[in-house]
This record gives sequence, structure tokens and C-alpha cells, in this order.
Amino acid sequence: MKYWLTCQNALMATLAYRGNLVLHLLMTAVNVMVTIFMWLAVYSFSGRSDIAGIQPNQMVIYLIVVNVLALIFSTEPIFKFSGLVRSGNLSVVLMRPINYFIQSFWDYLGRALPFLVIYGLATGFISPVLRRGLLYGLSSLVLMGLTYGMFFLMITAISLCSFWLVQVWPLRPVLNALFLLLGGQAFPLQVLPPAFAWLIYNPFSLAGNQLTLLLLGKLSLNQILLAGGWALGWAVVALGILKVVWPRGIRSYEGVGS
Amino acid sequence: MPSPIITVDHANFSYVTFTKQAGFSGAWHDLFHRQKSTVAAVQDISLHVNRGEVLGLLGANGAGKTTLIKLMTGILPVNAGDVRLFTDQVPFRKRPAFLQRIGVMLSQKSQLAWDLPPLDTLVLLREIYHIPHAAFTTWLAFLTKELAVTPQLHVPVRKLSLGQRIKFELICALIHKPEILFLDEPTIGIDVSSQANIYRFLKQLNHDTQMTIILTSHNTKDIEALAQRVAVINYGHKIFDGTTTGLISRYATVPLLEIVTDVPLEPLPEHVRQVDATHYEIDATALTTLPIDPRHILSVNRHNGSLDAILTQLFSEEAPTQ
Repeated sequence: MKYWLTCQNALMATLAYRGNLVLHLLMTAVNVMVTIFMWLAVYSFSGRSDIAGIQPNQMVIYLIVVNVLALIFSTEPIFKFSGLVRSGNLSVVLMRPINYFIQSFWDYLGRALPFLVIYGLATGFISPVLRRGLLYGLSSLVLMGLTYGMFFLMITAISLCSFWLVQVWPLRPVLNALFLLLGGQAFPLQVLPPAFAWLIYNPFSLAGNQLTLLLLGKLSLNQILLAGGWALGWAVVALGILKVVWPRGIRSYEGVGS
Repeated sequence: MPSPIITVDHANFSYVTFTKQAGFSGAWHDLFHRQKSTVAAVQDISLHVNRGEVLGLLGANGAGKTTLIKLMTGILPVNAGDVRLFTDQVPFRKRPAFLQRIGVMLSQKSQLAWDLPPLDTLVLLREIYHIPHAAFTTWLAFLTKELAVTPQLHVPVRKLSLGQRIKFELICALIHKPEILFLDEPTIGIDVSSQANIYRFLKQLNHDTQMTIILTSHNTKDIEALAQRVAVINYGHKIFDGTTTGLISRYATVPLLEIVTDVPLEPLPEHVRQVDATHYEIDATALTTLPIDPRHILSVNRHNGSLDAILTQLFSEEAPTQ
């Protein structure tokens, strides 16, 4: 219940600033439009009706979905945690009889809830995912959950560098670029030469490219299982980092300020 | 004799800081050769606090009193020595059963969700501390009534005044009825009547529930109003541990009386020194009675006998060589 309340509070905090939410969505929409027009120009000037087997209308849908996913897979917890360490407000969190990571996950979930609802509705009503049999549907849902958990663990592990770095804001453009390039936000990774095919199993691609292909019904059951395996593997790596780094970080934490 | 609820035994804590050189050449030099220095924030401090005691920690800025609170609450680990609460709990381990029994209010750190009303944070705390709903409702109603913030329960925190926020921070620290309450600067930014309200409330709480209170403040009124015992920390060392009256009698060396009158004294009595037109000083050791007509006296203060004056003198002393 305490974690559900954390999720509820995070959602309410997100909705408290309606103007910010609308502006955020507006900016995302503009970015998506720019990317779509760029790709349509590429199709038009190349004179080809498909690129790497992807037709223009499929590309448009892909770009819309992958950008909604970028809203769900936010890297904000890194900067939030950095703020807690820098201001010393982490002390308040440490004084509560709770698991910080579990609470942080529910907070993360609460903030992404409006976008998760959009993705969920698209999965339920537009995507063929739930119409391909029970096993396929269940596997897809497990992959979504697993990828979401993996991504959260991964960015939480990255956030622990805040214990030693006073400012982590330089990471923001780096992470945006990683999601844009490695996550397939600017283009589907399938357009890359075969030598780079392994890139589709990096954490950003699993969260962006692979979940978009899943929603569009482009992943076979075997591909879902393979992506799930990779997501699990990355989650274990992130958990390992958290287990090792957190105790060291908490010893170096000085609770600055008063 | 019951064992102390808090035992600090020869605790030490130091941290590493960096010094930066001025100018561009200094910045360039620091880029490759950063100068580190170790600051001993707490040095060999021992302290015992019994259940139900109210202990005031006094010290200048950077003296180490907040660091000592952080060691006692488990925010920081001791480098050497030992800190135990409830006989066997090591604070830094932060066991949930231990955290359930302490309440912490750090005045410059907020528990409250900035964009939401305080009630939302308090309901979250109810779940975190597993407080039964009925008990929560009754206790919260009592706390908000005592601190006069009931109407603000549903107002977003960002819209509250500083004083109202501080009161809600105090409520957050008390909502689970902790056995030990740590208060760091509890009345910062609070008006005089609200301060008096908080003092009265905390005193009553301590009396009724035997809650142990550890308090740091720069405001000596806080300490005089609440603390049964004070520990003075200076440059990381404990230099005094006893009652406030004990502190005053130990350090008040020159009993000098400051007198303000409504009219100038003509002629000036013997042993009376004029500071300005109606302001005089008298060495109290030189006289047995005041040589001034009581009808003209507006106020009499014993200079250097107040806690403020003693602390000013103590804190201005040089740091001990290490």
C-alpha cells in the first residue's frame, strides 16, 4: 500500500503542473513531426518505396510509437537522485523504514502512468499483440514488464554516480543521444548494416526499438524470447552494480547542508 | 539504574574536502592537482542520554553538532568509536525496526512533497510506519490542533508559509510517535508566538510520553525553554555537558549589571559607569544594594550571565591545535 501511495503521489505531482505536461507533449510532438518529415524526404529523394523493408507509412507509425516509449522510459530518476545527494535531502529518505529502490520504482511508474496508459490502449486496441494467441500475448506482456524493470534498474545504477559527481547534468545530452541513436528513436536500427545487428539488444534498443516492433506485431515469438533473455541479462548486470555500488556510495555520502 | 537510550562512546567523524586556488592558473592547477584536506567534524565525543531526557546541543556554525545528530540517526557512519541507540542498535545499519522508533526533523531538509498538500505526505507516512487508520486520524487531529495548522492540511506545500511548513515537518517527524525525536533547528523562521507554541507542545509531549528529545539550535531561547541538559560542542569537541544553569554558573565570570533608566542619573553614583544618556553598568561584586532610585529603573540585566553572552565568549575562542 505504501508503494502504491508513492505511485499515486507521483502521478498527482505530474498532473499538478498541467502546463508543463502539455508543453512536454507538444515538444515531443514537434520532434516526432520533424523526424517524420525528414524520413519522408529521404523516401521521396531516394525514389524508393521501402528502406530496409520498411515502407513510409510503417516508418511514420514506428516513429510515433518509439517516441511515446521514450516518454515512458525516462532518465529523470538519475537527475532526481543527483538532486537528493547534492542537496542532502537523501537523508530524509534514508530515515524512513522503506526500501529506497522499490519506492523509487513506484515513483517512476507513477510519473510515467499517463504515457503507459496510452501505450497500453494502443497495445489493447490497435496492436495485433493480444490477438495472436495466449502464449504470444503473455510473452509480449512479460517482455514489456521485464524491459521496464530492466531500464529502471539500469538508470538507477547510473544514478549512483551522483555519490561521487557533484553535477550529473552533462549526462543528460549523452543519454538523450543514446536513446536517439541506440534506442532507435531517430530511425529503426534495422536500417543499419548487418554487422551492427547486435546493437538491437542494447538496453536502449530493448526499451525503444524492440518494444515498438512488438507493438507493431513485427516480432516473432522467438525474437520476443531472445529480447526477454537480453532484458533479463541486463537487469541482472544492473542489479549487480547496485549491490556493489550502493553500500560504497552510502558510506561516502556526507548529507551536506544541515 | 536503567541503561541510557543513546550511548555515544568516543565517536569520531572526519570528511575530506577540497581547497580551490583563486584565478585561472589556480583553476588549471586544480584540474590536475586537487588539494585535499581532512576535516575532523566530531572528535572523541562521548555522550549518554537517558530515556525521557531533553538534551540541547549547542555550538557555533560548523562546530559539529549537526554531524553528531547525523551519527546518532545513522545518516553517517562513525570513523572510530561507537554509537548505540536502544542499547544494541547501530544507527548506520538503518534496520527498519530501528527507524520505526526514531523521528528526525532536519529543518533545511523537507519530508513534504512540494506540489501536494501535507496530508498526502502524511498519509504516505501512515502506510510507511504501519499506523492504524483510526489512531492516525486521532493523532493527526491532535497534532494539527496543537500546532494550529488544521486548515492548511489540504493546501499544497508550495503555498504554505515557512512557519507552517516547519510545523508540518515537525508533524511528519512525530506522526509515528517515535521514542527518540531528533530536532535540528526546529524553530528557524518561526515567529515568536509560534515558537512559544512549539516549546509548550514539545514540553507537554516529553512530559506525557517520556519521549527523548535531542535538539540543536542557534536560538538559545529554544534550549532554555526545552532542554533539561545541554552539551556544548566546539570545533568537534564536547566542552561542556550539564544543565543550562550549570553552564551559566561555570562560565559567567564577571557579574556586570546593565541598567536602563527613564532619566539621566544626576549626580552619577559611585561604582556606576555611564554607557550613554540613560544606560549604565555596575560591577555587582562592588555593591550590596543598587545606588539608584528604583522608580527610575526601566530594566536590569546581568551582562555575561546570559546564555547568549556565555556562548558568544565560548565560540569566539580559538580552535584547539590538532
